[in-house]
Amino acid sequence: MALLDVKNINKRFGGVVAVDDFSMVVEPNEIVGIIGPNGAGKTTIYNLISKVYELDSGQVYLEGEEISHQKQEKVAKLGIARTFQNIRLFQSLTVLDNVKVPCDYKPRYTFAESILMLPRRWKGEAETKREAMECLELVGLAHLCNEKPSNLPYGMQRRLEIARALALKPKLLLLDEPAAGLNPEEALGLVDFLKNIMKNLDISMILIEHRMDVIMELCDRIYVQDFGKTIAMGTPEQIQTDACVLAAYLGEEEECNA
Amino acid sequence: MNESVIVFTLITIIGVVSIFPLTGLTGLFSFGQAAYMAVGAYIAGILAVFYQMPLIVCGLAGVLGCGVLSMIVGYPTLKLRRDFFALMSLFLGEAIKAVLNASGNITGGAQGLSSIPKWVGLPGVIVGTIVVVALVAFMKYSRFGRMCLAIKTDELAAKSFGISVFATKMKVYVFTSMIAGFAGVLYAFYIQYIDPNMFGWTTSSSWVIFLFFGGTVSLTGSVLSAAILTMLPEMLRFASELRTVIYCVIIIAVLNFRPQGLLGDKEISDLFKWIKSKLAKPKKLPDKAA
Repeated sequence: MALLDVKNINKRFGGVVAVDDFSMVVEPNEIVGIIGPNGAGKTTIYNLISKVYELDSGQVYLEGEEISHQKQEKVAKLGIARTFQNIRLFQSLTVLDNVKVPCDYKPRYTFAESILMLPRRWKGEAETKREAMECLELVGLAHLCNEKPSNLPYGMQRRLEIARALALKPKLLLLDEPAAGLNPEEALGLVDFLKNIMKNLDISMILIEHRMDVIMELCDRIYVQDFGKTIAMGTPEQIQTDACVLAAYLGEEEECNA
Repeated sequence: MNESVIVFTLITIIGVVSIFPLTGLTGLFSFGQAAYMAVGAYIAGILAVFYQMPLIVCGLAGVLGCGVLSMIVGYPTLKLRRDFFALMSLFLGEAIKAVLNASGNITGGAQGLSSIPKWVGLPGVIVGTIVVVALVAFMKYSRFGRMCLAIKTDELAAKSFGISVFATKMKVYVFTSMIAGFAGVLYAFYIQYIDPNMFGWTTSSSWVIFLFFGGTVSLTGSVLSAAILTMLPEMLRFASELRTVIYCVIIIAVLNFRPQGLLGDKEISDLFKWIKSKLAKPKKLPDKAA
């Protein structure tokens, strides 16, 4: 059974069709890429899957269960974590607390137990801290756990966002331009890092990215979007030679039958 | 300085601490928090005066009454946007004041409710304040404190990590309302006289000002600023005419030159940690070299 099954989803903003009849399948332990020019509706697809926006039509299934009309927080609890294109860390929390937040919805202790400092509160906090530290160690930020996110360089803030998403223990991770703003060396590091995560955790990823080296290196399959429509789908090799993709990116006047 | 100034200061500290989780951590402005203090004071006072209930029953009824009221009020309003919630809290405060003024046969109306037994002294208020500050501090350093700060910073991101925004806001709102109610109970049994005008929006908004003066995410700052700003007018009594001017200048100066408040986000525990790290450093350095 597919992990994520997106069936014919649509989203309009006024007269603009942001996502037009988009379908995709993500299998377990797979990395799927979504590429396309600016304004192609890639981030809107993420917002539809993670339920930031309501769908106009279509269905989304996670492990066979329909999540098309679930609440945003419910979808997160079911195992879809995401990062944001414009980094959205909790600036008022420390690095460690940022990574603790995804564990916090779990009822490890009640409100009364928290204000009375009962034993379950200590146990729950210890467990949360251990999980958060594990995630920070995974991205190599454990030594900076007491810093404020704004004190970290840009590349580390990106890694922190990934650590925070992993702390949710997701089945599916949606990465929105994780390599944006990274220099070539850092981008290479990111590729190795994501490969490492795929090896060690039982997880699937969807990757939106503009850097073709990162996309081609990581993805098993790629969807190409343009003006809300899927114009091509296939393996990296197929995409690189696809006429429609070249037309969309380079504006060639070639016949395109998509 | 006489005893009643100290008690009044301590009760103001409880009031400011009661909006700390709501306004400071969650970012929901409450301009009607003193209304809950009124509800707590009146429930406890009426039970004591007209029904001769013992202190423990009056106190519990006052605090729990506030909890129930805040649930009823919070259910429709906590789903609104923050600015609408702030407006609503202002109206709630004035509405409760009006109700207390109008229902004279039960509450004594504008004349107030008098001859409440004096069941609480200075020691009781001190213990009550310490307990409340401890409860709120424990809450700040729990998963609920983190969730509140996450909601305040970025509600959308908080939701995408599984946090139920409404449920969290509701818990905090009920919690803070019950603390305000507790302040009211202490107040009623110490001063022995309550009237509705003590609990208007001026009291509520001064709590908000104290909170911002001290630093919105610093509990230590809130307690300090509540203490300083309540006692300041007393200390400035010698300059009777300029009192209000000096008071306002100090507040404006702090808000202008230190917009994050007196202590920003620093707590007293950070000071202890800093001292500890200073003391521990000489031991750590050789470790690193080796």
